[in-house]
Amino acid sequence: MTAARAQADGTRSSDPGARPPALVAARITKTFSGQTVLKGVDLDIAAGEVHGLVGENGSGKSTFIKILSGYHAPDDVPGAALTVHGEPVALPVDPNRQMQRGVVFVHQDLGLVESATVTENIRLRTRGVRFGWRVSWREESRHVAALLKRFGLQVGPTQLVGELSQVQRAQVAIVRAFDQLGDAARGLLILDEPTASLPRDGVEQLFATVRQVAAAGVGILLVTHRLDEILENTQRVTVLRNGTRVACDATESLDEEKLTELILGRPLGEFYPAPHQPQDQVIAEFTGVEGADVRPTSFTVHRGEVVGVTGLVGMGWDELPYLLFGARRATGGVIHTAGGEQVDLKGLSPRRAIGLGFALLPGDRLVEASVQAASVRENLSIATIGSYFTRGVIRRSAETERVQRLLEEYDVRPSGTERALSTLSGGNQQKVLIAKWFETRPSLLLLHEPTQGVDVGAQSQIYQRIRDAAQAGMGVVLASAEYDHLPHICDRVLVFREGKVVSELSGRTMNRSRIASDSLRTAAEPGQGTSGSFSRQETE
Amino acid sequence: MESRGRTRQTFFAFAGRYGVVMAWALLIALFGVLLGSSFLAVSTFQTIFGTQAVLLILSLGLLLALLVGEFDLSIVGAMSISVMLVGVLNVLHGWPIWLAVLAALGSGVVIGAINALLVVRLGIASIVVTLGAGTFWSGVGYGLYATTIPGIDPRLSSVMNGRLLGLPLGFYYAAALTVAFWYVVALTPLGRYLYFVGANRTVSQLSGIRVDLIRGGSLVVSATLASFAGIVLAGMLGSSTPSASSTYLLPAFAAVFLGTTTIQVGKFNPWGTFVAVYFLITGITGLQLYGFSGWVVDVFYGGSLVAAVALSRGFARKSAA
Amino acid sequence: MESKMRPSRRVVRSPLAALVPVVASLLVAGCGPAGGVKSAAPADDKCVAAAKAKVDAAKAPVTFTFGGPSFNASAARGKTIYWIATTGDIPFTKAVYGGFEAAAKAAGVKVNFFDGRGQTSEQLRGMQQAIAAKADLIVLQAIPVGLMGAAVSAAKSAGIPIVEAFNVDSTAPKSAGATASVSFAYSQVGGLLAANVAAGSGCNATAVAINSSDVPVSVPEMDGIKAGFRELCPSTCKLDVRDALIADWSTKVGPLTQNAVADRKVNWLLPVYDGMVQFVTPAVRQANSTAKIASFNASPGIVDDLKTSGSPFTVDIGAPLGWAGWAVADQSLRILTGAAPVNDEKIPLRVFDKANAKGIDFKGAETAIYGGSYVNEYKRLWGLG
Repeated sequence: MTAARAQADGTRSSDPGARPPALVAARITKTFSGQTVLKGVDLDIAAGEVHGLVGENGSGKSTFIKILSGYHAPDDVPGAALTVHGEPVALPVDPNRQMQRGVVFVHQDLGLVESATVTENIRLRTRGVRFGWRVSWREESRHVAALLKRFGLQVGPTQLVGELSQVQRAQVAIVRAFDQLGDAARGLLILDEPTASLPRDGVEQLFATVRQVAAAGVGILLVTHRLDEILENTQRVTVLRNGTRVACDATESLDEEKLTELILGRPLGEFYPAPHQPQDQVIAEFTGVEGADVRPTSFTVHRGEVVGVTGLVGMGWDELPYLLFGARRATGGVIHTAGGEQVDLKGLSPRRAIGLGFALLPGDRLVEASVQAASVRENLSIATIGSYFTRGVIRRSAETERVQRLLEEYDVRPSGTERALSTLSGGNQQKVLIAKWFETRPSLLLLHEPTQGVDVGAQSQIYQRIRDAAQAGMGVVLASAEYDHLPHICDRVLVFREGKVVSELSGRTMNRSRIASDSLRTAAEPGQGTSGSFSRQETE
Repeated sequence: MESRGRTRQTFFAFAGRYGVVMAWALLIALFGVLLGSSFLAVSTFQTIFGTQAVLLILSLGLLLALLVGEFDLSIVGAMSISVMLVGVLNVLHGWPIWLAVLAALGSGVVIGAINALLVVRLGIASIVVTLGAGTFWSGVGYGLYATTIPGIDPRLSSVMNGRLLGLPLGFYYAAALTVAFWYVVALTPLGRYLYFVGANRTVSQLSGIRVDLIRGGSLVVSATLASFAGIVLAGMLGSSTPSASSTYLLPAFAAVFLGTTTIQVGKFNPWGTFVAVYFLITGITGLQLYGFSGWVVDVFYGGSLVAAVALSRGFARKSAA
Repeated sequence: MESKMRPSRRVVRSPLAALVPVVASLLVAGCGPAGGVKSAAPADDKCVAAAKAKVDAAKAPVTFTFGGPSFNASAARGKTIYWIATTGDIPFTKAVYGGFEAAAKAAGVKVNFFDGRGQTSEQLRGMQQAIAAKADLIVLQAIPVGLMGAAVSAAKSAGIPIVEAFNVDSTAPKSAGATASVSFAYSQVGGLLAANVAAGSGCNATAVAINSSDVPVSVPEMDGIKAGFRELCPSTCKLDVRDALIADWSTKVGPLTQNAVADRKVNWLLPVYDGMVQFVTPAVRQANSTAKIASFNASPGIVDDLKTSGSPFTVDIGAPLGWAGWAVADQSLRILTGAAPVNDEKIPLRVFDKANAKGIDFKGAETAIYGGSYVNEYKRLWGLG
């Protein structure tokens, strides 16, 4: 946030040195059953500072927030301490006394009662109680009206929250949090993904309110995935990776690429695999694929090609891999295999699909992709166990040996073949499952959200595997809503809307913002490539 | 400090795994001390091992169904039909004994197939289907003949009761089935598929396993094993009676569930079931020799089951901590 | 397997009985051919008198009428007998086994009790255990020998004799496979029940019997009832038979009774075992029926109801159970010592009705209830003084 910006808003810029810091956290550590999720993290936020906190899955970011809210107790480590506005806070934090400590939260779900008025929502926990436990709502309303005016909100104290727009509701939530800090207007306000459900144009409005709160002297911790918001609105950013604080830098010194690299831990070029040219040979052509969410769609997958399918959730792209594998009932469609076979999608069973050389890794790891209670070895070998069965017995030693080798190859940690799969982190589990399917030597790999809930390091490894598969001649259909990653891994991206492909992107048009905007487009826009056959096109 | 913790963990893991086996040994020692030669006689162990063949065979059938995630409450109904068919066909209709036995075995296949059809094709929960089927077939058993039919061909009895190393042949059939069961579960891909289908049908389906075939097949096999148990019982009795089978249901469940607390903790497993069956009968025999009368059987069954599951859970927790 | 039942030939000893044919013939002679219309009355009187005679004889305290032969029981000392009970839960088993155990002790014979818990699987296990333990003799109490066919053969091959207790009628031949049988004269019980009904109804009875067809010895008892009616009042005593399996007693007997007494002509109810009486009595009361109840077993606790004034329970026939236990011991000892088993241990029966029940304390000693003594008598037969 620049000084010019602050002036344009007409707010006083606060002098951080004048007051004690809003938050000083020292050596915060947390271990869950043998795994250390936070390794001695330090964080400090000055009074009136807007401070960003970023980190990927597995960075420890959410655990840190939960410790601040009192949901988890930090490990008892020498030097671990929490100070809010100069006053030490006993660890573990008592969740019932946060407010008194001067730490308030605004969560993603806001926590407002829609059927109650703005006043009631704001003052519910902090209303003044007079003699005889009566509440003077008139007093309260006056108080709230003043508050709303101070922050310039176009909202009346007696309006029902349900009547407000999404942005206004978020603003009310922030104002409430500010009010909870009391008259002294000091302490820490933690915003957890505040813009997740806001329309794009409401974001600016919200941050205007945030800046006003900061100007009043409150420290703000902004936790979000949206790097652009971090870069626009914060003064400093703390980056967590694998439980450690890897950076705490002035926002001015960062840009999106640098920030992403700090989060991922390596340059973008190294995070994503090197690009690769797909071949001409067709692995399979799908015509008229139709399902519960998918309108008749046709496309072709070539050898060595990674085809991304994406869009907003529920638009059909997320059902597509399951239809192609026979995991969900298709109502129409034909597979034309490279060998000239024609398979009716309606009657396809997963067993048959495997026979055709397809492999599916479902996105719901816990329920559809793995048996959590079974060992790593059992999960890995289940699809190919027959290959170890000779002369009437399963050769256990051969199986264990192969699995052990694969675990090393895929860098699964900790590497023990007999541990229950559930004891591995999400990323390591996913690597095991990918190994499972690669063992079947598929020609077409169908993936749904392969890096969901996977830490940064494993993400990179998985993307590398996908590229290796493509390089080896496999075709890949990658269904994912993570617009950030798709352009770096796919050769082309099909964007779905209402069950149909509304655009096909490749080359330069295949970028994050284009994907995002195309996914909002309606299907019936003229001349933009609607339903029909999509093979590789030259665009731009 | 760290290693002591590790040793503690290993101890609890071991205790959890072999708890019932150790309890069994303890039980034998205890009764040996309390009862002396009246318990520690060869005849006592002959009785302990010689009289549970029917229960063990029945339990193995139930084990298979539970392993793949299905309940089979119709096993005693199938057993009853089998027992009655042997008597009705051999004694009342003069069929040669081998043909009557074959028919009885075939009835199990048919009963299991009907269960499989309803559960797998029509998608009705197995607990409901088999509960109804069990009641139905038990009733049909009474319909075949309401009271005892004595005088089954003594050749069947000699096949079941003939002695080998002091134990009746029936014991060896049951033991052989246990070994076969273990072989399939531990050493074949089918065993892996059984376990996966029981753990998660969706994952199994998506991994290319023929889930419907396995579920249906298990119900057919469990009913057929129940029929075999009935044939063994008819041989041991030398007669058929419709009321003999129903009392095996709860002991079979007790044995299978108690079996999950040992050898392969937390999983339905054949050796665990084997140990459980003989552990239970050892306890009961000892208590009866000690002078406790009938009620002790039920108390011991129920109490052992609850204690074993609770202790096993406790040990598992301590060994994971 | 079960033999055909023959009607009881037992003749009740009473001086009056000898007069019956004399009186009867006098009455008939007195009527002459013109007295055809009056034939009902003389037949009734004859019937009632005959019935009453039977009943009165059986109401008397019992006496030991078993003649032996005597033998030396000490040869059986130190041997072991396994008693396998159909179920150890019921008072019947407890009482009989109590007598048996005492008798065995007196003879220096070891006994082992196995409770079959009403389950075939358990009863089989008991047999197998007894054979494995190389018992010297096995008593199968109320378990059909044919049901345990294979085990019985195995016992035979192992040289273990089997005594079946309370499986068949005492006058019937023993079951195939059993070495000997001990039982009550169930057919006589039936005959006495019929006699009580005839006497109590003036030989004009509409009776409903409640059978339990799953108990094998119900057959001779029911046959005895039918034979009794046939002998005493073939034309004036009507008998209808209903059935309730033991497991259904608590649920079926009540409704069944109500249904029976709905016909107001029914004046007597005959549940074959007095375990059913507790379900019959309330049903009779509810229907405001005047029907009377006669049954068998004289079970402790149930037979007391005879003393309750206003209760429809009128007659209960009992056999001394401790005595029965000694009788089983007697048969067993004969076999163990190599003596020949006897056909009939002559376990007596006694009829209890409202009249003689008044003077009897049913909670007292068994010998006081039934009146006779047997311990010393058996001991004498066994050469134990």
